[in-house]
Amino acid sequence: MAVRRERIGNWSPDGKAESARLRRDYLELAPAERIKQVCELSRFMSRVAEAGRRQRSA
Amino acid sequence: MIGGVAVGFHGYVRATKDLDVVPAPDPSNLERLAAVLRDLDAELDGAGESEASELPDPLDADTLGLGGNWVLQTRLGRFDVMQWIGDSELWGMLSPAALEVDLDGIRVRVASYEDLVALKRQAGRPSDLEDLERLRQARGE
Repeated sequence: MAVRRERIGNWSPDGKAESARLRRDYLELAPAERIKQVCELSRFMSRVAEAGRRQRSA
Repeated sequence: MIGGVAVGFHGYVRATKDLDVVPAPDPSNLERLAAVLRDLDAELDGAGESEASELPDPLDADTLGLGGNWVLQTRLGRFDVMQWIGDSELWGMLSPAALEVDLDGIRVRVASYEDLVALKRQAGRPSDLEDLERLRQARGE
């Protein structure tokens, strides 16, 4: 019988770390700072999505 | 890559709060990942100070090599290192079918559509189910 490996890290399936992050953002981060991070990710997403479109149409 | 960015790759583009990465587990790659995380000023996210002090340092390749999942905050936003889900090791599960793309000369691997759907189904959160529905609509399925 396989022994389930003990998992380390701060991620959990119940999203506890994500919830804590939302709370910290709400309390500590200026909206403009969060928007800047989202924009940074969105720029990257835009390049990835375009790569996906090219691959589907190839 | 998995998560919202992979959803965008496969046809449903939306804003996302983080980048979810499944690293190749070989030591040299984990060294590179740890170096990038340090360069991005990554820190443990969502853990109180006492909880964080009880965890090993995720910016260390040996710690990453233990195979855990880490939610990190960086100066560019949130970065999640994902290595398992349920009883599955993600790299072994996703790598064989992952799609390789070139982003301005950088090779990036994205989970296949079928694997992404399976992951989203397994996660089963409302946001995952909405992603699946939107992907189906976008792709005309």
